[in-house]
Amino acid sequence: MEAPFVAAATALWLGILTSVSPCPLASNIVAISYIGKGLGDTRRVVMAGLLYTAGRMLTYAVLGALIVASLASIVGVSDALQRYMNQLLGPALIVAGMFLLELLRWRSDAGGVAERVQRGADRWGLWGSAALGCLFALSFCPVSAALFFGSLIPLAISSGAFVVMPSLYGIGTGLPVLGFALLLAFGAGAISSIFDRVTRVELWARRVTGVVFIAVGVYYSLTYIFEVFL
Amino acid sequence: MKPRKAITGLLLAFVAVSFGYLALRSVRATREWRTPDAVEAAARPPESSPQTAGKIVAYYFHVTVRCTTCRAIEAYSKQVIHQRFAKELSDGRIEWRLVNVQLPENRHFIQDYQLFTKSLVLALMKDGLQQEYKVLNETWELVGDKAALEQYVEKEVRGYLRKL
Repeated sequence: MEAPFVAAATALWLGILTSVSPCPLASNIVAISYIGKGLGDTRRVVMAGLLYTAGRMLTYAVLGALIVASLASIVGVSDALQRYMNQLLGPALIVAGMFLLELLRWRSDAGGVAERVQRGADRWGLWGSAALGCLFALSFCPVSAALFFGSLIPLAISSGAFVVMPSLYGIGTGLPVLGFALLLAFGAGAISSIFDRVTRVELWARRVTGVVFIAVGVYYSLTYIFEVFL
Repeated sequence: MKPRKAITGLLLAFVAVSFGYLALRSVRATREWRTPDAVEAAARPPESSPQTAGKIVAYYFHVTVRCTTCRAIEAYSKQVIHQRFAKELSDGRIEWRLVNVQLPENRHFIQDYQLFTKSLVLALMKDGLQQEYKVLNETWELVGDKAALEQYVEKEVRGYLRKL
């Protein structure tokens, strides 16, 4: 009875350890700013945080199951994800940031459709958290690769919980981000309600998120594509 | 409106240049690729010194972009080997090697040692041939505790030294 509990707690702890290490710091900042951008609406922030964590959970669960079922080689998957995902992440974040700042827009010419498009974009914004979770989970850095492939996968194999352990690891990697975003949202939410300027605060939150996306995207591109910061 | 357009153009140009540079690098890497024979010759460990029957090669494998934690593991490991095994280093029983696995000629190490991240690997060599190796994966879990990591590396190196 004790062993499965210890294994589960270890998987969760490995996830937290991954998330608080310095190497995913830039992606954590992006995630916090994205999840926390719906500052005035704490329910929305909670939903976005849960979806972000669910996205990470799902990605690690699928990856873990594929590896354990020997459908993918640890070395091949780890090498490919570390090589290409971080390189693609930079330009992807810049483009996403440009959409958030409305430097780029989806075209919608038909009158009346605009409202529906806006609603769709809002909904996408919430699901965007899950997509961001999947994307960041796949962007392995040395720490996450070492702890996921080197510690978590052997733990999943020895405990026989091929999907549960990677899922718990995913929850662990999302928890610090979720906690921080909630703190930010509750804090800013309180301030914005005091001043009764929720909409204005939300507008600025979205702008800040867009700038963070672009800044981190440029940082990722300079680091992983141009290899400037070695 | 003008600065907005300028920023948009600048960012899109940056994205385009990034993809262009990536493509250029991948073409260059293909050109620099050498035949497996040449790679093997370059990677072949040097002959053991005449005074020693065998030796331990302590590899630290990294890529071009170095992360903070990777640098810490490298520094602690190097410190342990250079300070606690200075005698073995000078008489050739231990050799410290830093290898960038992103270079085309070193990529085979990824498969050779089944590396999934930056790693410290001990290889036991006898008569110029590798007898066994161990990837010290626990360094990643212990990196927050310098003393524990150093103790772990020392224990593993001592274990290999006994096999010489």
